[in-house]
Amino acid sequence: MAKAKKVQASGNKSFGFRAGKYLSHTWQLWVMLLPAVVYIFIFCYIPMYGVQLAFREYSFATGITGGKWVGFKYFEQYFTSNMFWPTLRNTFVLSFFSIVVGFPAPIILAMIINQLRHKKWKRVVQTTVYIPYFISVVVMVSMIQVLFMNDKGVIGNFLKQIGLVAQTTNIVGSASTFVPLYVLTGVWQSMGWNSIIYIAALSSVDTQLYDACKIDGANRWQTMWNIDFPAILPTVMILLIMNMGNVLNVGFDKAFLMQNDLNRSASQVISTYVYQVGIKSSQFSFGTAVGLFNTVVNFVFLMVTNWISKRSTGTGLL
Amino acid sequence: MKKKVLAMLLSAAMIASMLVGCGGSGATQSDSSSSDAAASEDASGETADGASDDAAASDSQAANNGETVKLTGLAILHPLTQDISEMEYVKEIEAEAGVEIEWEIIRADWDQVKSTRFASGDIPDLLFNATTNADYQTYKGLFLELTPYITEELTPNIVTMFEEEPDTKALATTLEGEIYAAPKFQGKWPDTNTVMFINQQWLDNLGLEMPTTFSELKDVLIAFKEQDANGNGDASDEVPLDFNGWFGSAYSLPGAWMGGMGIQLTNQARNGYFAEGGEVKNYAVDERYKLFMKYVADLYANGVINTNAVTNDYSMFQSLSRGNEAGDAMVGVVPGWEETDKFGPELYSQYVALPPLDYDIDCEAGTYDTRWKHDFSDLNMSANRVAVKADCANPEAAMRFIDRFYDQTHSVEVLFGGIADGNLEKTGDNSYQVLDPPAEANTDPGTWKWTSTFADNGPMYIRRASEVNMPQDMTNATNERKAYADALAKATTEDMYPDMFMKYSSEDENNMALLQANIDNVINNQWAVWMVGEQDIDSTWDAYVQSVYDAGLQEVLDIRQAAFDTYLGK
Amino acid sequence: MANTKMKSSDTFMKSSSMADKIFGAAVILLSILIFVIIVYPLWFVVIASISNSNLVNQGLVTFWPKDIRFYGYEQVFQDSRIWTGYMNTIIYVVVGTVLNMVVTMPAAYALSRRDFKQRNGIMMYFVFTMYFSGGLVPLYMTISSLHLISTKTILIIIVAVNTYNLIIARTFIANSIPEDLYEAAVLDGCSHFNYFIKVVLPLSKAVISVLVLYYAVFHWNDYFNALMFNSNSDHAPLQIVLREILLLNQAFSSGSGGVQGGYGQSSADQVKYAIIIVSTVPILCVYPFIQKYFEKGVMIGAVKG
Repeated sequence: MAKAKKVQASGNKSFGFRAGKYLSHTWQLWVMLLPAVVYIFIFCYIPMYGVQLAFREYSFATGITGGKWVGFKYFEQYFTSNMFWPTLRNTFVLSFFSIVVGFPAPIILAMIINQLRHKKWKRVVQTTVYIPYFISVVVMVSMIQVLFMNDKGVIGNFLKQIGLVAQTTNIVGSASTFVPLYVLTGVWQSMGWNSIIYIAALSSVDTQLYDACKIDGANRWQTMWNIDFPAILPTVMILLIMNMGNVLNVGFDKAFLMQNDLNRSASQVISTYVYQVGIKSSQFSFGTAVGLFNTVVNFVFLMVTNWISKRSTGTGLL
Repeated sequence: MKKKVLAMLLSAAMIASMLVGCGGSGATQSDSSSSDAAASEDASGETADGASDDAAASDSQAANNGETVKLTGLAILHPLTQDISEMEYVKEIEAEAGVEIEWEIIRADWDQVKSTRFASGDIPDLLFNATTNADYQTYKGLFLELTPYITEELTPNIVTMFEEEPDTKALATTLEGEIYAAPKFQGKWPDTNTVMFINQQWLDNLGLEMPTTFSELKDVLIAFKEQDANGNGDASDEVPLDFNGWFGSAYSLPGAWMGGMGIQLTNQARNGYFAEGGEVKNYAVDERYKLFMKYVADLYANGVINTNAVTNDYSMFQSLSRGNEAGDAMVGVVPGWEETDKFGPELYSQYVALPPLDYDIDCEAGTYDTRWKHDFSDLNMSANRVAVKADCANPEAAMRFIDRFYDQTHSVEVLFGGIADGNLEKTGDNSYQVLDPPAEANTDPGTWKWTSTFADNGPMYIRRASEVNMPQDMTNATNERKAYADALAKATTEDMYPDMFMKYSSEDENNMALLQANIDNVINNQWAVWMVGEQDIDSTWDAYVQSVYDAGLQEVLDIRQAAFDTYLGK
Repeated sequence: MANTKMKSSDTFMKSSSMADKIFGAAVILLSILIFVIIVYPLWFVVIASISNSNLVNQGLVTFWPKDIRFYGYEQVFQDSRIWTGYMNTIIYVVVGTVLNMVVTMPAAYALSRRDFKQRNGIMMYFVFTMYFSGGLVPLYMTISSLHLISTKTILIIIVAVNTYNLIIARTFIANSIPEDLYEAAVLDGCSHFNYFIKVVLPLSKAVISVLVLYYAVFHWNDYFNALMFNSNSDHAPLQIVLREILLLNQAFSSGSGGVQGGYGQSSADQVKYAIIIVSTVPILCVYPFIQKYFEKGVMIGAVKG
């Protein structure tokens, strides 16, 4: 009820002081929000009581909410495990490079596609680059294994021939190549798909701006930098913030399937470790606790990036 | 103005209703879930208490009136297996037990779905091949404790199995003496999972003798590498030695050859545990493993081990043994299950079993008592074939139905396919002939059983006395293993460590799961790093052993030792 | 108008500097390089789907298919379940995506209004759920208490709105639609509903196409929700059917402890690659229709028209 009063008050204020400037029917905005709010409430907030499992022992007889309260026992179990730092470090490293390489790639790709003058070629490129997104992780990893295998892997051999990789390196079986392999194949797979949003954003740039630019004698590089880039910057920032909020969410499937005994020291991430522990006995609570830890770290990253972005570019999630 | 007021009222009302809705439904939710849980607890308590009365009542009812009891069942089947409703012999079993089952079949990713289904209590009456030991502790109250129902009247076949094969009863019984699922005994499978194959034709081509020791094997492998063993004119396309996986894999090198250093492995020796004179040890920290790793690293340095062996998945591992485009054999020595399965119809005749090797590097052959991995209990028994839901309305009917699977003839049908289905023929009172698949089925005998029936996943008790004339692949598998019979015969009770029979408390079980994950992270990585020569074995061995103990090995060994002592009856 | 535009670009062409030429060449070269990097592995999927799997696994199939056979496609298409799978998936994609858009776009508009005082609070309400969730078991129980387990409905509504997409739409609306249009609407005394339908939607074609694509592809690829919340095989979507066919053939190549027959082994892995093609081609056919909304000038045309 307190909240309702506040709404009333602020409503009054806007009606009172700025009546001419805004559409007055705030209730219509609420109506438009209603379905989304209700859906999120039912499917996200109602089940939220499950979080307490991180602090309880799971017992079928008493259900999720009735198990013995053990506080931070499961968090401690993870924090004191000798795998805590290695998994945390590996996860961060993978995420960090995935963002550093994987985030700018689709932006650059979108810019390039946007600059192509030949209509047909542009279409061909545009329709090809997003196809890899549809390759499932299982097949993706099989392809990596075949294409990069020792001696016979086509791409591996090519990289060795042009001197990008040392002749003796076992690309799929070495801790030092795991991160680049994981990150670059990830970029290959998602670059085109992720560029779609930027291409769409670029399509909404007012063409008059280009003409104005030409009249000013700017070259294409300058036009791109001064017109195109600012146009997609808000989208870029929002996506960057959301990416930063996923910093500990290294997908389980790909890391797990790419893992082998030679690259384990680099490929053991939080999610694969939880799987390894949990598989033997349904360790609900341990999994939930590690998940909650992940979430909190992610959320902190999201908030910090959001704050920085708001300060520097004025764009933010919240 | 009127409009504005209305708008404000509406938005206020909306917020208010949202807040109410939030608290309201949140409360109902938690209420209902806790009352659900309470209800199911009550129900299970009731069934357990009133079991015997109900049992007698409904048993006589079904038997007297010939009434059909309707039950629901869930079965996790091999992806190849047809629907259970297509299996004629299962219909016979249902009829004999006076039940009718509504089946739910799951073929993919049960592990992902399982915990959610179990935790929410949404399961049918019968669960075939769907549970593990840990489930009975984690979801205590969800499954029926079967001991009161395993009786001479209700389940004569299971009682017989427990009497004739006491290991099966030990396997099914928890630390607290409870039984939550019926086990299986299939009796006809060999004593070891692993045959080390060697290409006899390559030996002949190069005029080499069958190796009998580690050093002779090394010479043979080097000859395979340096010369054109497959005779196709290319001296560099031979892969002298291939394998798949390490700890706990049936097709790994230590699985085959740690025995050469007197270490008796049992049931794949998952995670490296074995027993020696009644003491539980882990070979990953044994001095002999250090010697073994040095030998393997030496082989790798000589270029005779497939450089992709560590990273290849099973399917790539299989493909290499099937030869190249021109049909030339590519692999010299490789572990496998059975020759036609491993090498395909064209190449299998080139390969024979390589007998156990004696370790003779810097010592006399015979210094160690050579052994071979013993997998009888793993291949022939397993627990958790069928479980029953705790609040099953008619547990007697369910148990009667389950017991029919353990009937002498039905058991053979479970494994190889039904008589009425055309998979099997009864040739005498206690003898059976497994039939070949019809030509139009376009399949081989080994695959056919997986498409027709539960096969190895089903509940069954195949009597040792039953004579089963098995298909060609099983005959091959048995013959190939004769090379290992002498070594296998050396295994004693004190040296065998069938960890499937060990019982742990749930606290120990959870503890071990965490510690083992940490240990695995050290040992699963280090062997590969040593093999490919990234690290020197001598200089890193001590630190490695220390880190394995730091990860909690001693605690796991203590827990396992206690359980092993109990098992041995100490 | 068209005339002047032509003229200006003509003069531009003539005066194009050396820098522009280099820039243009660099763009073309880069696009060719990217194209090749993207296409080769895709080509590999195609040839692997029709070659002898043993040779593929040994790395012997590189640029052209070897020992061609169509077992993979036969396996996929001879399975009658695949057509039910396609049908179900199409229903989930069409109905699900329409629902998604109906829920997402109005909400995105509301959240894009800077003068909407509660928008940050509401935003937080959404963003919070991107990170914190109660886990699968309580979700299953919630769905179960709504009696939606194993119904088609749940596979349609399970993700009625995706916060990520909501934010994208909000960002687009807030940044791409000129504020003067809104001010003009204010002067006309337009309601939010009217402004949204008559101005915002027509101007958001680009982002609407992106979201349609995102949501449709999500429904198309959704495997996990169908696995968790549906056990009725009549309602199984394409991805579940394909997964079962894949496993069925993996069985050949993952040692079930018996003879596997040479033919099975040498073709089984084809299925893996064939499935990618079977499940991707329909999306490829739809994409060009969506893509045209990304073309330049759609937005401006709409404003002027």
